[in-house]
Amino acid sequence: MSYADFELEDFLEDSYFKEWVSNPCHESVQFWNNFLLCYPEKAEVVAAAKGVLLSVSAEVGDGFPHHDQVALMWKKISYGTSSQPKNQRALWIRLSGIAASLLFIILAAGWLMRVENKKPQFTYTTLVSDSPDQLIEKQNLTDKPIIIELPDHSKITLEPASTISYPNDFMEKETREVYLLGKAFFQIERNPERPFFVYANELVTKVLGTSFTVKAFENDQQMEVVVKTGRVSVFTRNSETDLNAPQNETILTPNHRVLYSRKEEIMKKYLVDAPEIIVCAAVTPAISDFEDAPVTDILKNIEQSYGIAIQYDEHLLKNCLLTASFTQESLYDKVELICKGIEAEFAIVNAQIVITGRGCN
Amino acid sequence: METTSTPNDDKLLWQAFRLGDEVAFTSLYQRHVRVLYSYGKKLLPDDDAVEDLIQDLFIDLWQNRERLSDIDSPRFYLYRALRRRIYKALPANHPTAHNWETMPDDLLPVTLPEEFYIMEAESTRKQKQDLTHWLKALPVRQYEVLMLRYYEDFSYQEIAEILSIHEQSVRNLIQRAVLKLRQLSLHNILLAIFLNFFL
Repeated sequence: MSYADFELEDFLEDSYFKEWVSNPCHESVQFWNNFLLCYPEKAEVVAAAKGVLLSVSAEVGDGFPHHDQVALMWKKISYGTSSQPKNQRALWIRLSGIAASLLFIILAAGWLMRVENKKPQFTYTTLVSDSPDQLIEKQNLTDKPIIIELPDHSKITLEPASTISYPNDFMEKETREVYLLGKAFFQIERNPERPFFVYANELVTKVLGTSFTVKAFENDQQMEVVVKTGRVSVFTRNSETDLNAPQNETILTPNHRVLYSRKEEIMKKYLVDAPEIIVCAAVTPAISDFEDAPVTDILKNIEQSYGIAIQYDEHLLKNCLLTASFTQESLYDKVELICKGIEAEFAIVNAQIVITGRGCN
Repeated sequence: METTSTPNDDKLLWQAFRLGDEVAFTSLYQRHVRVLYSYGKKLLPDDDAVEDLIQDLFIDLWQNRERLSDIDSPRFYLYRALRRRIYKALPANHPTAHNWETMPDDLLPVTLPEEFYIMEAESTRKQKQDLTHWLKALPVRQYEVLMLRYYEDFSYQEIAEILSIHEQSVRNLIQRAVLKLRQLSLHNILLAIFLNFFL
């Protein structure tokens, strides 16, 4: 087969072609320019193949570690290999401990200097002073946690040296909002109509009804949200953030926590230190025909047969009945069909499908 | 693109490393750590965990060097070893950790492909982005196979061994990824990319 008969896949497999894309030399450039002059109809497919190779290569390059990271990893490997005996390994651990503390001091110093240079846009102080509402503020000056009950009967366990404020007219507003400085455990009364927001510096936690902990002191480098029951959505805000459609939200479920690094401005999801067992259901076969079935049953079946978590409000959706017949649809097509049927929307957040809708009556 | 080492150099380095040559060991690390890290992060999106796994891999390599055999492709060896470690380290509730071989491979898109389907030919820059979006929207396994085949130039047989699946499954994965690209009927976009690259 000559290059004139090549299709996209053939070019992608051809080593001479690949060599030209990744590492062009005078000779190969001439060859391929010449080829394109003779076979202009191949221009498109050549461009496609070239585009694929270059974008794969760019994607791999994007994932490369930083130079310092490569060096640091090597250092750790060297410590690990410089010795086999156990007590020497202990020395390595001690050394890396010292290195870590030094690094921590340097980072902390850098962070403090940075704070001085660039005041964070959202801190408890700015949030509270910018709030259009009159606020009630509660401070815990004791050395034990105190419990505060909000007008909607949600409970807040406020840790020492922490402060919380909420609007005077808490019950009259469309959403329930509190501002936190420090650490608190929240047990929120369920109310899908009025989502509950916790504003803690630039971190926003949005829930419908659940229990969780937020830790966000004003000068801490890291903020943390841990979920006990239910689901919460955590995101960071900047001046453009639309609080109802945040761009960078992380959905948290029990056994998960999220850490936000203010310095790097990165939110990362982790498992809690001691996760409780989540029993993995054996993969159930997908059902292809549903007649007047509760949407929740269909979603559950999809969830299990695909092994993907789907988040939705069961109370809201359980009254929605659907008749559906699936054949060759992809997962997303199925979910989209279902969502259309119940006037809901879905989004993919951290490898999970999140469905939001008003429900059916 | 990263200057890739010639396979032959790698093989010689490996031989030297097995005999305790630390310089050779360093070279092997320097040559492969970047791609391994980039690859690992796709499979396990946790920087620290990937770092640890790579460190452990190299530490174990050094400590077991006398027991290692002579191999043709250290690069292949490293990929396969890292992938095994990653799958061992995946959290138990990670969807890929269970029956991932039998699961449909459309399960795990890296990102939401939505923007990609909106095909407005605005500027070449946007079109280049679209191709990147296609790539990012691919399920992890399809991306993995594309990367191993087109970036690392592994043979189908090698990829099959790295992923511990059949060679035919590797071919199917690649076909599916390329088919997806074609289905998007990228005519205009690709033409614009062409103009961008060649003119």
